[in-house]
Amino acid sequence: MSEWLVHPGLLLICGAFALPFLRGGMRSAAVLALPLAALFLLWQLPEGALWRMHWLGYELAPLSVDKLSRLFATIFALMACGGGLFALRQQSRLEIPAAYVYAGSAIGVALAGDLVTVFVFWELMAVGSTLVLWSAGSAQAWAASRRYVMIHLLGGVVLFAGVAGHLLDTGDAAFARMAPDSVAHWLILIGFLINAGAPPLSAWLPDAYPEASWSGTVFLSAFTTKTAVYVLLRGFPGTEFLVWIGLFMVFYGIVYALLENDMRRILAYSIVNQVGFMIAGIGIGTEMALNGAAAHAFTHIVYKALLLMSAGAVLAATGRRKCSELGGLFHSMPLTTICGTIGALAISSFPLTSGFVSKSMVTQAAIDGHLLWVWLALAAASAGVFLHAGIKFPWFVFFQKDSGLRPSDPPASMRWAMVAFAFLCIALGVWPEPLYRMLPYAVDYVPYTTAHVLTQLQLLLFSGLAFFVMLPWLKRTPTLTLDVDWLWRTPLPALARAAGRAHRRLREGLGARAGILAARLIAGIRRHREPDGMLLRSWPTGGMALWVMTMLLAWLVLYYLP
Amino acid sequence: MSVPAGPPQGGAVSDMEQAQPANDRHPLPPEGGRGEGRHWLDEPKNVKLLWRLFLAVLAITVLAEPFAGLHPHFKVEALFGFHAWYGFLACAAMILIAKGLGLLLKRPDTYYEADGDE
Repeated sequence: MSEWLVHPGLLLICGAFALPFLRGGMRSAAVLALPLAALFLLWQLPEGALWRMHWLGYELAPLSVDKLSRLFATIFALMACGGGLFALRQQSRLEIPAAYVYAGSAIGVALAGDLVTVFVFWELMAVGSTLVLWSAGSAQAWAASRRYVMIHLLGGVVLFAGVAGHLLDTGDAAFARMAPDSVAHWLILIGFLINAGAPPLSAWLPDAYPEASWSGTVFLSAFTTKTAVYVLLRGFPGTEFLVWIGLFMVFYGIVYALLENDMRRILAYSIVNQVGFMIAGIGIGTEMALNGAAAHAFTHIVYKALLLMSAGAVLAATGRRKCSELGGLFHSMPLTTICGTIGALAISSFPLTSGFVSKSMVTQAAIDGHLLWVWLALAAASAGVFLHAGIKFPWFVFFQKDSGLRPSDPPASMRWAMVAFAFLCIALGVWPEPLYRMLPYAVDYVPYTTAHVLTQLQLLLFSGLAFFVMLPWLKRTPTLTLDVDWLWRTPLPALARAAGRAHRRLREGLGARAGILAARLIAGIRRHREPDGMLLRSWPTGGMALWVMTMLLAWLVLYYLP
Repeated sequence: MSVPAGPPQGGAVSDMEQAQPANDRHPLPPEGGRGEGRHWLDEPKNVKLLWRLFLAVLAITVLAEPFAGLHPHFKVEALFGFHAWYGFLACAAMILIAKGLGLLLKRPDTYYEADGDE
């Protein structure tokens, strides 16, 4: 057993099952120690395929480490620790264990050297994340979790079909670079993309994530989409059509976030937007672009968690989530305001924040590849990020008109989680070398040149100007915006209900007519087979003896005949 | 990383529990409690100052361009103040597109509650 626990992901998963039995200080200590222990174990592991096993004739490598997998497993463990600290005061006793199963399986995907292991942890992630959603305990969360799990089970089935096809085609389970050149590989790619929040099913993400508890959304934001980025990085780098998928996601996220009123749904749309940058980078596929996508996934997890922590602190303190009911919170929540603003600056890639040193590598890759249109789109999208997440979120939640709410900053555990992640956002921005050293390829990139800082400031500050100039157009209204999830929330259930009704009516209608026919048939059959029917009625023994004697006599007569 | 040391953990919970009912009792006090604890950001004078500062910084970022040693890769990039006006126009365009899409797709936020659970 102890040998199995050397796997950092399994350690976190097994630890999660022990958590419900702990109370008080022991529990808090375990919540913080588990991810840190996993992180420690992870960095003790040498590179290479560490476990090998045979299963149904396939060679599996459930634990294998290289730079890319270590990078993602590291940020997943860090995220579990920060999220656990933030969630310490959560009433639900299910949430943290569920989140640790979720985080542990994300680490499991990152450390999987074969597709079968990827699939197993992939599905375990779906279970963990659904439980995190459930633990919110509200009716909306329950309904949202059902829609969420439906999409993820669909994605899982597609992925499984792909993996099975790949095994049949190649006989090799190793998780290596693929190209979308066969049905099986397309299915794998589609399965990965569904979890990444790619079109056409992107809507599962902004539908489900904002329904979790104030701490649950912090966990949800980190793992599912980023493991998808990881598997795409490993499996499909340089697949050109991913560039277009990524760019679509980038603008989809911005436009929907601009229309949105729910503060956490704004941030959920912005997850799709940010993952779009990563997927575009994966599609470009050069070493610079892949480094950029990986680095951006790392920094994104930190600042998005920070943003959702500040939103969660507001939700926990006020019970409100709509921008139109919030505002002016900087008066009484100064620390939350500062941390939220740091997260907002980081997501906008402001100089001296983590986003600046990661996203610009993707943009640089577009320049190096002479991809003018891709570069123009990425630049416009960078401006749009500042617009929808960089200013809109902090402005409508913490500033704008005064809502009169005066909640205080959250308890110490939540404050420390926010401060730690805010520190990371700035530290990574000021001192990117440690992150650059962890990237899969050698980094030949200097983010801080006068030209780059100045052009980035121009881009962002003038986007800010556009925001304030067009503020009347951005006024919050108590509305939602229809998305693809409308399909599986309104017409499809209506269709299913209608089909159910039609089926019932058909059965009843047919039942009446067919019933008569069937009754006649059955009556006909039964007539001869009833206890008194010809075939089944009991015969008197006297009759039997008579017939036997008759046959014997006949035999005697026939015997003496010549 | 300096944070005011928080109240002891037990006290912190009661803080949060008290916050909610307190807000429900008077959800909208007039003008953010004028008089007591007025923040410097509430003064229109200071907001105006911030605006001027912001515009000054905007001007500086554009005017500093010739001295920053840009080496544009694409032709459009060489246009003066490209990132400034491109950022502004891109944002304006995205806001307009969002607005247009909103006309088609916006619904009251009780839209899904009607056919919620069945």
